[in-house]
Amino acid sequence: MLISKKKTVMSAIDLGSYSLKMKIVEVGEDGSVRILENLSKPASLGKDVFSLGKVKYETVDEICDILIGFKMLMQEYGSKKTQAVATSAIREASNKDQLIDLITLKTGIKVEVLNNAREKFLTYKAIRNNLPDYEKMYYEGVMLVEVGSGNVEVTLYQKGHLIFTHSIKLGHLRLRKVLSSLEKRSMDFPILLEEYVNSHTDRLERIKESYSIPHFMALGSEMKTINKLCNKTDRAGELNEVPLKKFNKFYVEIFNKPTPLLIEDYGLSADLAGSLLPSMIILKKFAGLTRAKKLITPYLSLNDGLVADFINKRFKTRHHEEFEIDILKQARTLALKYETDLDHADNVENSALILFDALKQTHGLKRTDRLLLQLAAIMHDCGKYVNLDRHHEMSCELVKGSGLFGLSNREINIVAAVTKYHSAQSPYNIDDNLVSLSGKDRVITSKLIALVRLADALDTSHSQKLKNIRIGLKEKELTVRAESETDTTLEEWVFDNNSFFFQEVFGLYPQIKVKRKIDCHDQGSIAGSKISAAAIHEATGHKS
Amino acid sequence: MQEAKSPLPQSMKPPATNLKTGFKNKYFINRELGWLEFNYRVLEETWDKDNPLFERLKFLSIFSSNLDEFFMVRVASLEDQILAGYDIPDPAGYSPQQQLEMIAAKAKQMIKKQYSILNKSIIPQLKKNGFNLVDGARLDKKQLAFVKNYFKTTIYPVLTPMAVDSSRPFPLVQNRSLNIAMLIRERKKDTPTFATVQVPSVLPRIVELPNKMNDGRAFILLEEIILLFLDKLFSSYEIMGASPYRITRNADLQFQEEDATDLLQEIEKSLKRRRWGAAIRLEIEASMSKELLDVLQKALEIGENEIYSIKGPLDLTFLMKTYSTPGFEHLKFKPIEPLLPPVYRDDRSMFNIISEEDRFLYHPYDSFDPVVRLVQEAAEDPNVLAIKQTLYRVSGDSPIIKALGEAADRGKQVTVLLELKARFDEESNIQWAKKLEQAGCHVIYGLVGLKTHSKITLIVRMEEDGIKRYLHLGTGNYNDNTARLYTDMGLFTSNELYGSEASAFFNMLTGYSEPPDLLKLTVAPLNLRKFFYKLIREEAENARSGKKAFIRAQMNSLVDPRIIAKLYRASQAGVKIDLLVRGVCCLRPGVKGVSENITVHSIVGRFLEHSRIYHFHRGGLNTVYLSSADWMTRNLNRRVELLFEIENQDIKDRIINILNTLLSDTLKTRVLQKDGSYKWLDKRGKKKLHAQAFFSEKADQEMKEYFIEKQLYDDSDKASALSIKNSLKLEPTVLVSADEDETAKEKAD
Repeated sequence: MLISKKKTVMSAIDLGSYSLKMKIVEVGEDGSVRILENLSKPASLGKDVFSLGKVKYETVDEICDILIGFKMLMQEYGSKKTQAVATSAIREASNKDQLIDLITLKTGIKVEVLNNAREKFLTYKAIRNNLPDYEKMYYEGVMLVEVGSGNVEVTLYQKGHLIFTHSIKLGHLRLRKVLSSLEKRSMDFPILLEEYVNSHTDRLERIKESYSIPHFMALGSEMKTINKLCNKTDRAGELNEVPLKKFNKFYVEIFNKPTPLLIEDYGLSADLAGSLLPSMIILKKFAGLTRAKKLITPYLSLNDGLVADFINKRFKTRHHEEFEIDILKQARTLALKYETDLDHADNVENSALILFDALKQTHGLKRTDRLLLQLAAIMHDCGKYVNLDRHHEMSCELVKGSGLFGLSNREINIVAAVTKYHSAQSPYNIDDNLVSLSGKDRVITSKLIALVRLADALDTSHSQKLKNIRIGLKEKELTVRAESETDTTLEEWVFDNNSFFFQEVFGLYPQIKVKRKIDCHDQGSIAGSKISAAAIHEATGHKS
Repeated sequence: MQEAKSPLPQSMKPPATNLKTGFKNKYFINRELGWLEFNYRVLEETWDKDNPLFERLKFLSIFSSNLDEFFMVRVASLEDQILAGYDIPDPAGYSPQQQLEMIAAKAKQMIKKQYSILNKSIIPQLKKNGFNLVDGARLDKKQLAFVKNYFKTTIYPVLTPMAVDSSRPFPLVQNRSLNIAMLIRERKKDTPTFATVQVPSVLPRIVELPNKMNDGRAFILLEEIILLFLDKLFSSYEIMGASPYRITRNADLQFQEEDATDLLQEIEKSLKRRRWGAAIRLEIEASMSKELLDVLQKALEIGENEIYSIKGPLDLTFLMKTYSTPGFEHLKFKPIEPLLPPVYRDDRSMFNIISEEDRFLYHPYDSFDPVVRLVQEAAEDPNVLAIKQTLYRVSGDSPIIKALGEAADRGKQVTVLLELKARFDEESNIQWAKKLEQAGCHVIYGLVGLKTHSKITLIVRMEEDGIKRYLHLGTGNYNDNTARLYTDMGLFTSNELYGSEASAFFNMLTGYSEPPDLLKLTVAPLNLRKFFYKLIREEAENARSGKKAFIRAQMNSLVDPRIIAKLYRASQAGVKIDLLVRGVCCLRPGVKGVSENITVHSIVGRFLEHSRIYHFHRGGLNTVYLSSADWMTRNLNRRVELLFEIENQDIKDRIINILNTLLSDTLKTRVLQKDGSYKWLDKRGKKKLHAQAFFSEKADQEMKEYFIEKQLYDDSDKASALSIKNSLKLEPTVLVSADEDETAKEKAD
């Protein structure tokens, strides 16, 4: 068979709460995407999980049958690369692990369970890769709201940067479940719904005063229907926006219509009819926090995000760099929140990167690992906010709880482990954080730990004494050359202390050579005095 | 059917359907009468002297087999309705009982006409042309000796005579089988016993006799021979009287599909059931005695009105076989030489040809070969990843099925959507399904409750620039045999938008995905009906605002009352509507204030007009669509159908031209009248045109030119090729019959 050299065919599968979706796309050399197949098949994953807490055996069977069908289609296009992810329903299922295993066993498809943040990250990635004027919107200010079945995800961008991102337990399916007992009791169920939503969003009211947001983007699987119904059009895709006027008009139209009437009047499925009003109430609430005159509905799905992710990774596009910048910015915001010494953090990050890049030939790590290294370097000390004494452990916990947006669980675990072992113990102990990682990932983690430790050592005193750092590699030796205007005894000592671990990991013996640049003015104020208690503590810690 | 029927309790009666057409019953033509009118147009072909004698013979046979099917399905369904206590009138306002009565009256009248043609015109003409149908009583010695031997050696071994008495119940007489009923007795004083014997269907109905006369060849009907030797069947009995009869049974397939776990099994079961449905028609030779008829009528529980007394041989469907008797080719149409358009003539791959631009074929004038070739090339091409096709009625030894099997063998993904429920073809379809499955194809048997009627082939190919999809969309089935007899249109395209929607369409059929939103393809039962409404409404709006507006369409049948009501509204708004409806048409044209802007033409001729073309003016856009769907309720509601637009301007122009030609036909066109009858077109002042002959002669001519050119080119003598080509200039398009006035008179008769 002829294999196109220029094009790659890949498939993205999303096991959602209501349906299984698949996109098969052809990716060009320039990262352009052509959709070959776009499928959606209903499945009752969400119903099972949100009512029983787990997925029924029959449902698993049903899902596997659908996936086998999907697989046949993949073969029809010679698709070699498959990315399958699962979201909230499977994430919350008590039998998650057996489920994933069973699916792999029966269909050969490996499913990654996405955490909330990564799911959101992928969706936003899809927006960046697919909406031409996203840059303008991100600059002027945009609120992105995704109404899921379980949660509502709200994110605010302005001046091109992420302002905040929030997850509220207010999904339409959850709303219906929570309030279902009331539906029969109250005649004014819609008003009740509205009140309930308001009671959960009052702390967001300040957005209206603090920011002036001109754009509003609505995401989620219901948006296609809402768009069609509000615009009164048969064929979706004609318009990807809904004027707020039309939205409000339709809102009034359906406000008092019982679900069976919605099904009949608009030809909706029972599921869609049930989620229509809750979704619209939520959207109305959030759109009211902005100055937007219309709802932008880009019809993008998680699958588009998976495709975008694949392309960005493969072609290292501009978008990918933007994502790195976003994630790094998040990490810095987090570090600042925990009152980290950012000068030190930046310095460690820089030195770590210099080491990483110099060792390119020997470490065998990937570009994504470089990002993890940066993140670990930035956040390695944030645990000090909680407890100076065992700050590394605290850092680890804070990183894990941070919900860093765009990282997979695996990646977060690696970053957390690196921060945990950045100072003292050797990571050989039996540790939950490491046990959860695969052997391969443990090696990556060790390498990153060694790099962070060495970089941290170079700024032990938190005063950025070493300048102009260069790396020399010669057979079994790695030489760090730097210049300093002040005494660097402490740094050199800590560096030496860490050399053993580094040598163990990389098989290279690290040495440091500091060239002293004497400057008369500063002679008196050198070193020592500026070494913080923390630095000393850390330095002595290295011995243990 | 005379016994008392216990009607269903009120609560179990089907709900009254309110059709809400907004038009009075009288504006609708009853569907069954409309159908009988259509079949009558087929019958008219048997006295059209422009048709060669054997073709007229064939039309006699088609009239009969059509009628058989009509009884088994439509009449049966009306009987079922009465049995179920369902007495909702049709859109024309007739109750099932009234319809049955009207059908019987009309059908009897038509059958009378059929036999009068057979006896007064066809049989004498056959004789003139050396085809003598000999009566059993008039055999000469040699012929008698021949039939005696033939009976002894060939017929007798396969006969199973059965007598009826208190210990032996009335035997199950097979649907549509020809039988001989007789009364026999052993001794003079015995009461006569009823006996019956089936005229074996395994033997040819017509047997050639030796003939020493100089008047050509002689033939005798099988039942005549059996009647001669009936005494050999009951050796010690006396035959008191014998006469052929035939019954038709209720054969409407009604599946409880919702309960059927396996559709295939369900159909296999139902096939067995069909043979023994209730008798709904009894045909007897007019000479049958009262005693014999009484026995039959009682045993078969058949009503007076359901008895068809016939003057001549029963069951003329055998004439189809007679048509193929060797030696009478000069009494048939010259075989058509389908045109292979120039672009397909060299060895270029179909993929290249389709990639260049959209391609169009008009069968049977254009060859069906390119369609078969596409599937065959796809099967062999190493770059083809997948082939998907819907198959409805496949030919006996289909090269397409063979190619699909080969493709699966080569490891390609082959998906075949086989519609098992194609009426009366189930048995052969099941065989193909099993064969394809064995070859490794992914065979799907359609969606429960919906027949897959769409005709589409999708090929996915990996090319230098990535995945490319090739498509064939048609109005007719993938059947290389009927492609020579039916007029149908087909489109090849590699347009990406069509391709990706075709994929989505197949995903819906295979159940991989929910129906998606489509822009290029319109799908029944999802949105085709709505789409037609929109198009009709659009014309009406344009007409109301004073703009030009027209609708022109060709289809097999126009039945759906709601579409008809929309057409009436458009006509009222001033839209000019010209329809070509070959078969049933329930729309009543020319009614003042309702349908005066609507004309309905029907062309019934050598080729079965099968294309579905929909042409809307759309304020000058002149949009042309092709479809697998007629404007029938079943097409729009209960079948999976496709409608697609023709975007290529050249192809669109060609289709519009074809429509023009069909609408200007004067020689084969019958015009539907206000009263529901059809009249020959008033030819005065019109250019005489025989559309089907025009198309086929044009194709013939072009093909001839090609052969000559090819041959001469091979002889490397281009100059003389050119001169011969010039001498073969196209004949004028108008075909005038030698004796036009006389024929016209006969036709109007």
